[in-house]
Amino acid sequence: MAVTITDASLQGIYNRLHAIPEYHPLDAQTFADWSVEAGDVVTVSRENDSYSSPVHTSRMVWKGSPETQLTSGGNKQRDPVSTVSQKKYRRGSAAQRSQEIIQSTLEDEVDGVRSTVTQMANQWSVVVEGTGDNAHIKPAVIQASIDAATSQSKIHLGADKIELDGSTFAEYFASGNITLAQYVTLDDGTEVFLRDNSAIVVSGEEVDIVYGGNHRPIEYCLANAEVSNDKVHFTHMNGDELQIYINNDGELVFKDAQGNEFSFEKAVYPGTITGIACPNGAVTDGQTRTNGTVEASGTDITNDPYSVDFSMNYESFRPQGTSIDTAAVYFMLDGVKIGRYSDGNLLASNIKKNVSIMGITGSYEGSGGSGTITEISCPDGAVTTGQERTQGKVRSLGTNITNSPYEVNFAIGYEAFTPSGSSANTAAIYFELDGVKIGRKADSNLVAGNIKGGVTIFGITGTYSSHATIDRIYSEPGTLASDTTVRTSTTIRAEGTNVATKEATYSLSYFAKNDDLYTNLNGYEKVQQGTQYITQSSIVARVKAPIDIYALAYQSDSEPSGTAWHSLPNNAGVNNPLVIGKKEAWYKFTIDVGPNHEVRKWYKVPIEISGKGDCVSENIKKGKSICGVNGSLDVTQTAPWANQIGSNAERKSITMEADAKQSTFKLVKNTVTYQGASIPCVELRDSSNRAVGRFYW
Amino acid sequence: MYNASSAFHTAVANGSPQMALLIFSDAVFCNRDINVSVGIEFNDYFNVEEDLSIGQALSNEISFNLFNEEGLLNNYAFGDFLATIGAQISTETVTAQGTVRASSTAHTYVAYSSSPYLKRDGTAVSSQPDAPVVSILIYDGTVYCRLSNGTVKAYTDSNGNAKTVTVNSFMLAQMNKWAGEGIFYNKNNRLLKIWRGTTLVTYEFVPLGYFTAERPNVPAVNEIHFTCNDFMMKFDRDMPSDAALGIASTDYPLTFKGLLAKMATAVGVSFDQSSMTVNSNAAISARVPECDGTNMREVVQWIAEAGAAVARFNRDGVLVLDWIRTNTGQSYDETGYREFNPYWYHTKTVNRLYNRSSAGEYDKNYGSGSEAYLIQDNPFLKGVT
Repeated sequence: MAVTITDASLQGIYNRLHAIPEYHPLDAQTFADWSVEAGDVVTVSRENDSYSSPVHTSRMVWKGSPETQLTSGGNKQRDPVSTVSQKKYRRGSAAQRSQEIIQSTLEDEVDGVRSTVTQMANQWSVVVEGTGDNAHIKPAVIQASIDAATSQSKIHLGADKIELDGSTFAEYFASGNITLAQYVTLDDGTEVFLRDNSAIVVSGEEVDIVYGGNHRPIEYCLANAEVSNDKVHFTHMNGDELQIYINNDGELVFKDAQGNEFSFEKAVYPGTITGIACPNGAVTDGQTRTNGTVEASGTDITNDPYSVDFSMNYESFRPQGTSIDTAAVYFMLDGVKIGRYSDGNLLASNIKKNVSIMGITGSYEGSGGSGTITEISCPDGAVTTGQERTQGKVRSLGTNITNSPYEVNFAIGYEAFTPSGSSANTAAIYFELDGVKIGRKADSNLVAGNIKGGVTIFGITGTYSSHATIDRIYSEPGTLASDTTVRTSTTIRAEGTNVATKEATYSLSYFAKNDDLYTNLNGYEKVQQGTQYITQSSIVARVKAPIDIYALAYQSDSEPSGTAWHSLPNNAGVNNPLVIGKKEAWYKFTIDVGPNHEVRKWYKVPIEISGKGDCVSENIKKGKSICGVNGSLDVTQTAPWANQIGSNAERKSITMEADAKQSTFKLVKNTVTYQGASIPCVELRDSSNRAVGRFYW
Repeated sequence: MYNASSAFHTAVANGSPQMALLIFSDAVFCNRDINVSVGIEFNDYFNVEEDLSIGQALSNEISFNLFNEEGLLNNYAFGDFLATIGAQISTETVTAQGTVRASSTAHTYVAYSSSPYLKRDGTAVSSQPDAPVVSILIYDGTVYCRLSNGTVKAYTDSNGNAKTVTVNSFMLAQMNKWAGEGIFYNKNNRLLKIWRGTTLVTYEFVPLGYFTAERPNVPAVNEIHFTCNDFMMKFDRDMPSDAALGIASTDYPLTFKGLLAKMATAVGVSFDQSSMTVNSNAAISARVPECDGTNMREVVQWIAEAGAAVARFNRDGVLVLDWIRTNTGQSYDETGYREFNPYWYHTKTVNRLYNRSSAGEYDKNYGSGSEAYLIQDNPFLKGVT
């Protein structure tokens, strides 16, 4: 289907092209920002000239700021149309055109060099030649034509030089595109045939045939060679004929005029050795070379160069007529020792002791001079876990020392030590080398007070004892302040060393028994004999019942609460303490003096503590560390406590006992003056006969 | 010349800080991601022939190196992107608000270290971020908030509603690098605003164009080199049939520019039909036979030649039939260039136009003179006089 173009015209296109003003092509490296686009018309000025041109290309490189190359191109004249304008077109069908002679000539001239391309029916040519000032340029012609008579094509090159693309040309040969049917005609008319994988190389005055990569000069013979039956026949001027061909095994065969094969190579090339040398060259200062190569070279030798290896070494050597070993240096070529050299002074007696030179170990220890101590160490090595070593040796080693190694003994011990500014002895651990103490270290916690009593650690005997000592038993509060002071209860307290303070509170009261009035304080004191009636308003009951005293005991780890007490056997009691081993226990006694009268008392059995001794945790006071061992020994305990009461008859005193300490408190009848009247009272007096408690009635 | 403000030109001339952005559909690369020491090379072509010629379909090029030291781009697909460079045109002192702030043309977003973490125009957004906001990016109507828990919460700028977005690992890391910054890029005026504490800096951007970055064969390297062409390369494919172009027989006669518009649609680009001012009404009565067996880019060249223009993509990524712009007024004196080499001669004005077939079917010319311009074998101008 035919395509119709509507409304399109060349005029609009022409008008736009014609509107392009003349401009100077330019190339400017500018600082233009990137808002400038290709297609913009820019003006660049220099001195008094300015140039306005459309930007054909803009190349900006931005590295944090722009730099832009603006380019505007264009030739002085528009080339394409000027050449084509001379082309002659013809009308008609393709069949008609093939039978007519068509001539098309394209001409172009640039800077005085004109190129003309001419195309005709059977010939195409390019001519490049100089014009004007360049008229001296020799025309170069490439012409391709077809001979109408022979129908053969030909290329004629009229250039001074021909350059072929190396790789392309080589590939062309390798591909087999050149065959026997093609040939090159030399200037003298000689036609040189080429066959696959072959080439002719003209080098200087020689012409080489290259086949399979091997070159062979064929000068003088080329004109007489002919090829027949895959053989090349060379005919010498004297008529002798030489055949060269490749047999079925791919071997190159040479035959003389009589048809006899001969070895071309051996017959023509006897070799000559021209020298033996070491290609490694001479050694230079500082360089060591114990092996290398000796190389023979020559001319016409197939295995040129030929080389063998050499090496240099030394060996033990005893010269004839002597009994002393020395060393000889030898040179070994191709595995054979061909030279040996020794120095008569290379003897052990001339070499430093224990030093080896070329296998000869020296024995000379020298005279005079000075040795060098190189090491001080302990040959016993480091102690390992669980290992104890309190003595050993320190060793010194050196060179050129006659008595190396030299050793002295060391020991580690301890001794009494009183640190400066302290009065408490401790022990210092010392390091003794060769009988001299050169180091001492003490631990400030290594004092008697931090060690279990009787145990000795590093010579310090411990005093931190488990034996408690009662130092004092007293009443609190103390002596009554005045004769009229009333105090119906008091606390009796025991204090000591390594014991917790223990105390008991006693009340002074009274009761009646067999009509007698008694004062009650655990024990009791007859206050008044005979039946008495209490007149004080606070006493409303009369007590007649006889007092039955018996003991109850209760064993517990802690003070019991409530009334769930248990009885001990009848023989258990104050005077028959229950032994429960090493466990602390509470005992309770109850003295029942009838209804509403009850006295209760507790005491504890002391703890016995046994120890293991030495510097172990159990022997060190809790909270202290001796030589890195943290103590756990805590002997703080409750004071042993016993209150001894007398018989259940009248008793006027009570003796408080704690361990070996005793203190007796007694009840004493007394009178005091109160508001002008003499008032009878009962007082509790301590061992110094000071009243610590009192009541009236 | 791309339209930019005088402030932009002044900023560039004064050496103000500049920033390059490579904006992909789901990632944006900036100066810290580009090896600036190697630089960005941008080749802008209007004519690649020896003499100024019409009928070219030109493709601009850009090349650069991207850092990939953390390997975040190893699996990134790349693709089409906008390359643009901005210059800092102003710096202002503003009142600090919250920990991060950013404002679009209509709304202000302020982030706080404790709940509520984000307010829009002073009111807490209804869908609060799960954690404090590290940075804010407002782009193309979406507010992206990078949170301290490593996620991104997004909102629609126009209504403040939460919006589901997918953010790749590169952008997660990128936004974390913008910690403390609020960023708003306005595509309309090409202004980029960055709030940092009490400072607001503004960049004006001028685009270099839209390009396509092919995913490199070996992306797992510390630095990836790219050489990218603009969208003209999309026409490097066989010319489709009319059916594939969406052209029915009833669409004929079809204007040249109408055909080019169909072709642009087929390859997914925009074409500004108004840019064809010469022979803008020219049309074909049927499919041009020469369109079969050739590629689309050659057809673009034919139509451009018929329109006395060159085909190229402008900086906004739109295909135009372009011609010399004489009113730019850009000039450079000795302070504006490092090197300047004008040719000794000047070109000649075209005074003749030939339109011919190399096979001799037609040979028309217009005008007279020796400076002739040759149009040869353009099927869209077959026999046109």
